[in-house]
Amino acid sequence: MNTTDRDLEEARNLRGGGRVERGAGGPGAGDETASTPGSPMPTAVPPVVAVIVTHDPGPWFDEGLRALADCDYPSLAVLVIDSGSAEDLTPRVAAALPTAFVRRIDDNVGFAAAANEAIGSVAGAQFLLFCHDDVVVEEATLRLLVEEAYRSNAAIVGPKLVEYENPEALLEVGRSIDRYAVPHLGVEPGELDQEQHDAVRDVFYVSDALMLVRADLFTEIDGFDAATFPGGEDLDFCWRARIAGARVMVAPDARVRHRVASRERADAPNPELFVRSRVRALLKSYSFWSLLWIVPVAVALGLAEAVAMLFTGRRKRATALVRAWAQNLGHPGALRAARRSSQAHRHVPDSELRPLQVRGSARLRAYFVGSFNAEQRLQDLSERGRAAAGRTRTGLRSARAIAWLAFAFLFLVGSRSLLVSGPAAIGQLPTWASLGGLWTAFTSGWRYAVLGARTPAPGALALISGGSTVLLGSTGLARTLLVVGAIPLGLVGCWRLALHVAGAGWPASVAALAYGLNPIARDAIAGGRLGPLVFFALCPFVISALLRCAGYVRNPPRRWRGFVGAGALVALSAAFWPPAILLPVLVLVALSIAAPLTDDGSKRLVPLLTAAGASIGVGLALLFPWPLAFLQSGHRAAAFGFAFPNAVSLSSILRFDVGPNATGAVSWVFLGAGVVVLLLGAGERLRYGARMWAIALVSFAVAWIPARFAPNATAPSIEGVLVPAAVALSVAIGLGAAAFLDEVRTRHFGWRQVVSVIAGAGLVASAIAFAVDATDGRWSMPDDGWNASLTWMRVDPSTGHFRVLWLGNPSVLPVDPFVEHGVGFGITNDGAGDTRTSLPPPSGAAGNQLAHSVDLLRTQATNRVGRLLGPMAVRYVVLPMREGPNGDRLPVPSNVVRGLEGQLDFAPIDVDPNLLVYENLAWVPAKATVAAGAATRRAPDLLRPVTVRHGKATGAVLWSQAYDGAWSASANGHTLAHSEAFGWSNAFALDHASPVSISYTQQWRRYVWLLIELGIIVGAFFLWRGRLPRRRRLAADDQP
Amino acid sequence: MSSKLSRRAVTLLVVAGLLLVAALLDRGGASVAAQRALAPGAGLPTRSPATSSWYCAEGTSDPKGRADETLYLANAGTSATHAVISVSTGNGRTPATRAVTVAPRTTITLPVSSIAVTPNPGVTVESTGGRLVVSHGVRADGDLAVGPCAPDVASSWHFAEGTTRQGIELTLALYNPLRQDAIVDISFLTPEGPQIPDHLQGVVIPARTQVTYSLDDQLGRQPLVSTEVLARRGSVVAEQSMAFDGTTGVRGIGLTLGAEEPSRVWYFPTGEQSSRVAQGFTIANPGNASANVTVQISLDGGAKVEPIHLNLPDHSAMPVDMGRVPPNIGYSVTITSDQPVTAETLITSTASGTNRARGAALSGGGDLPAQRWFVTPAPIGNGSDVVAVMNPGTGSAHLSASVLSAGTQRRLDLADHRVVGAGQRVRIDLVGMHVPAGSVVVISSDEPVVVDRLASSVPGLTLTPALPELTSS
Repeated sequence: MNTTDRDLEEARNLRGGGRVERGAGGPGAGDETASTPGSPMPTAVPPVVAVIVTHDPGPWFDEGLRALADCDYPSLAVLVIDSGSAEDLTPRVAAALPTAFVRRIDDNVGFAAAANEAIGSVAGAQFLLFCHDDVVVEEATLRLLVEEAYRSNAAIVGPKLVEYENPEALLEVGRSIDRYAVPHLGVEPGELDQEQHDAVRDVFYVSDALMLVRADLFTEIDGFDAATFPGGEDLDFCWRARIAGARVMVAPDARVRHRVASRERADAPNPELFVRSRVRALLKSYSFWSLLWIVPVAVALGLAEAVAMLFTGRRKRATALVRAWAQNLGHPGALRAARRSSQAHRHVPDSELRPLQVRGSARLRAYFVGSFNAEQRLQDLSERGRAAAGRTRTGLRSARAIAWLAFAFLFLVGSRSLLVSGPAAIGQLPTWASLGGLWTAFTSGWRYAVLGARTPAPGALALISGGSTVLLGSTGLARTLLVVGAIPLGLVGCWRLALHVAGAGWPASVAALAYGLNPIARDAIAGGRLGPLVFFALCPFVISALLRCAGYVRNPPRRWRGFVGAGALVALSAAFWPPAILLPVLVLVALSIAAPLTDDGSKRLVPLLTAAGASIGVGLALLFPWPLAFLQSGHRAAAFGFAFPNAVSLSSILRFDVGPNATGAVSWVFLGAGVVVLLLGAGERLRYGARMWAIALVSFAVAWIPARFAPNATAPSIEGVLVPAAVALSVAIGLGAAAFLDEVRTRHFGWRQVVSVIAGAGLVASAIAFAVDATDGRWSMPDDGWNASLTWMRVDPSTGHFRVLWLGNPSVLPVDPFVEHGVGFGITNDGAGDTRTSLPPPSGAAGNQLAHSVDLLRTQATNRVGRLLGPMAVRYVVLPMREGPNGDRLPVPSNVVRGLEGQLDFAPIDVDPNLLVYENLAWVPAKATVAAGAATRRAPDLLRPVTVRHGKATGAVLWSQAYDGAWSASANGHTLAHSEAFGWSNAFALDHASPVSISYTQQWRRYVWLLIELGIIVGAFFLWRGRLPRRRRLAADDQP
Repeated sequence: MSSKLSRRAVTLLVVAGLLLVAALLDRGGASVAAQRALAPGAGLPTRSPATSSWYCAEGTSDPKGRADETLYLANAGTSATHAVISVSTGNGRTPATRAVTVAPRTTITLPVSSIAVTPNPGVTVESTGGRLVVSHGVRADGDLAVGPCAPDVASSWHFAEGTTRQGIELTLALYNPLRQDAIVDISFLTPEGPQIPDHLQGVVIPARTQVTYSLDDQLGRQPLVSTEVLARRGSVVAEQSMAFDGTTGVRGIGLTLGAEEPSRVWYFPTGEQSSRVAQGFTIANPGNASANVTVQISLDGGAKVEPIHLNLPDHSAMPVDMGRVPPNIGYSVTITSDQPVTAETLITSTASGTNRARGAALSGGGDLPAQRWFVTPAPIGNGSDVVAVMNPGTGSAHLSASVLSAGTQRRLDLADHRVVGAGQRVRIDLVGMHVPAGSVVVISSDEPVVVDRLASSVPGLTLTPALPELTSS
């Protein structure tokens, strides 16, 4: 198979170039080559036969033949294979290239089958040059290709293809594919040839528009696979050559003009068949082990793409995508035979070809590059950056810029410790697991949170995983950026909202800065309330999107673009803080109430109603299927975020005084300054002021009414509930600033100026309070959570996995707490836990059992709670009195403390005076073999602990996850009988001592859900983006 | 202009009005940024006396022991209850256990020595649900003292009554049923002032171990000893017994469970004074401030004795002079104080003439009236057996009573004792109503009352506080 040293020497001799004069001859004449006298040509060069496959060619065909005739390669013969042309091409060929031979096939069998005719028709050629009929070679093309074949010991060499009409524009310089056989050109459409791709290199495959192939290889691997035409014959051929150990190269110095005439033909092959061909190539060429994972992923991506295309109206193409797989997999016999043939020549493992494939999805890459014109945008960005820098230099000298810079400085000072050492793992801000752990948790069909549940993972987990992926797996950095970045992002959102409502310049800046000074965001950080913090960042964007959709501000977006944009923002907020899904309702209610004062008739309210409904609908759809979990929440409203005590006074609410960063009397300024617009504003500005006040009042009411009239009920985190009020009042303050600037400064000095000055002084005072809060560098967040104190809790293989039950004041628990009679509780796995157990599912019967156990502790109704918790694998019970070792001490439920103290199975562990830790001596590992019968009771026997049998033993294998029929266990290849244990858990009968394997059999459902989820997201994206222009869509479809 | 003005005015009025209305409605609201506080209901336990665990500290499980202990397991429920009795034998050994089933409305009697023979048995009785009421009795010198076992462990225990005079053996029993060692400090209030023996500070009560202290060995002869047990770590159960060897004319034994917390009010439904029955009350003030105490004695028939006012300095104890009480008239006692105090009563009876009942009884009274009470069994023979029901409220209480015995529940005809006037008490003679010895009596009332039971026989005297059933209300 390899070329010999003699061949190499011959190739070196070719470099001198030269023309061979030939008379008419026949095929095989090339084996007797002669050099022109006096030329440096070698006496013998490898004979090449150009095989041109044609079918009803256009006028360009003759030019192509003439170009071949003009080639400087001395030993070239030309065979034209006429694949069922309507008229005999012999006269045309004879006229253009008299030395060429013509072989006619009656039917149009396609390029691949026709080219295979060369196997029987050509003898003695060392190389075959396969050509389309619409290519025009340059004089040196063939010589350069042959030279490169020898130089690189390549079996297949392709040229650089340029546009026929515009040779300065590149078409391709070799091709690659992604793992899923989607081609990738690496060349932008219309990219100019500036020799930027002129390195000779290995490529995965080259186009059969023109490819030089060693004749022995062509014969050895049976030529092209006719079944991969159209669109995949070159890929398939090169792939098979690759796995047979051959090199495929591109020699960019060899240039060929390609007309791509197939686009112009009436009988051009259907591009949708291309997918089928590529799928066939994939199924033939990968090894069996590679196919095991490639096929599911490729199918998933294909389905996702199909869903996206359905959304964008390309139904035929979507159908073709699905059909491609069906057609290939639907003929297993033929496929098996083809695979056998391909794999028979395998000498190279797939892993060696991976470097030649592109990472990720070539389809997505092509889409983004093509759709977003990255380069152009970068250039645009650069120009804008230069302009912005110029503006900044000027702007920095303004008072407004000084205000912004002062805020930024104070914010950085106030966040310095967070930036350096990261936020503490407190409240709903646990540490984030490793990237792999996060993705695994998100894609798992079973949620290992609380006691486990067959519910989808929350969208927040995907966002956290995605963000961490972007940061190359640095989950800690992603977490820090999310926490610290929330306030600046909120400022930007408020600034944009105020820009539309109050106007640019000072009004927007005042609104944004007032929002930044509001203490609720700092309190959210201090308490580890991640959800409210994210809501703080996104709420202004959501309100802005809703107002734009409903036409409250100028330049409303395109209908669905607006809905999807608002819905996406709602989804992002609700992913971290579920009550945020109700924000559009709050805005709708508020503006409806304000309508009599703002003259907002049905012309605005109806669109607002539509926008609110659509944004909630889109939001739920984007979070799908996670919202389904809430249908099971039942009475456990904590699963929806209603997990916190509710006793807040009206004064505290109105002042946003809900945490350690409260600014005392100064915080009245937000309410007071917000009134300015009602006093000074007029016209539309007054109307906007009224609308903002309506939003603020409804937000206050949502926070206060339950506190006043249902103090025993739990409520969402108050920091989150007050965010809409903070946004609205900040914008109202901005409107007041606008009123002052536009109307009042033109008048004589009077009460208006006095009011405005007082409001401004108030804002300055709140800025001073902000500066005071900034001194600790953490916005009053404790230095650390309880993780460091509990690092000794770790899984010991000899004892097994365990859970930790956190109990106490919901405000200090480092989990998303459930609440029973005011007592918060939550579960972490194998220690202090991480974000994988955040936003826990309602948990059904298992959750009820856990809640019951907690209630028994609370009521001190039993001293054997340890035996109830034991089968739940609860090894440790922890009651924190503070959020962290140096956090504020908060009230603890004394009866629970007493209940813990009286437990007969609990042994205290001294860790920290503010952290009660008990070891449950009656715990059972999450996977344990227990005494037969113990695991089949409806409830644990309080009088007898469940006895764990160590080592190989018979009995019941207890699997401490919520009972689900999808759990399966096997031992020695036999499936074990499955039953419900303790009314909530899983037990498997083990008759003979042996290792047991437990698996969840419904994981595939999660993958289906993920596909649907992905499809929805992609669909929403296309809805947001709108349809592609027809011209660009066509071009995109034609891309390989 | 006018429309602009009116829009502004209306908007301002609406905003101001809404805030004003909210402010008015909010007058009862919390004053702090209190989401970080606990919900108002988070601390309220709802508790039934038929709890899952009972702890009995005092006693010996040896028929020849100092205070041979017997358990009484009464099932007040309507279904059988399964229970496991664990007897700790100390030194970290695994407790001896026995599983029993108690039929509904039935009481079983079980000598602790039938489970394990040990000088220091700490007994834990656990039941799964049901309504098991556990009490225990200690027998010495022919007298039986019965008292309820503790449904809880606690970190502090207080005993007001006690003496180490000659002929009286005062024993403090501490039982730690938990899995953690407890460390306790034991101190005393005596007429000589607070006594804090060094060797009784930081005492380790090992897990699942009972420890007893003979206080006359610790303190010498003291006419009054009020004991305080405070756990630095962990929790224990504390009981105290007083054994009279006849030197003082009294033979018998009294048993009392300590009070977990001092209280500002104590009720004693049973009061007896006669030529052969003496009852005394002792009040201890373990706090750091002096307490002004009033002892109100209500005689049967409605008369009241002039209140007795006492001033107890901090960390002091004092007996109440009951000389004002006329003999042979029953009474009840209410002790109130401006500072939390503890109070106990000691009844002693000497045999004389035809009435040969004799013995001693200790009780800590009650500090929390309730509407439903379980009167634990006092199986001491066929002497007198009287349940006293005291109504400390301001309105009349209407009573009903039933007896649970041998699997049946029989309603008692209270006849004239159905109504208890405000501040009064009634005595329900169980013997007269043919209530078998060892039965559980359930007292129900439409008003909160306090109940105890005084039983005497030949020999034997015991005063047993009833157990209240508390609800979340």
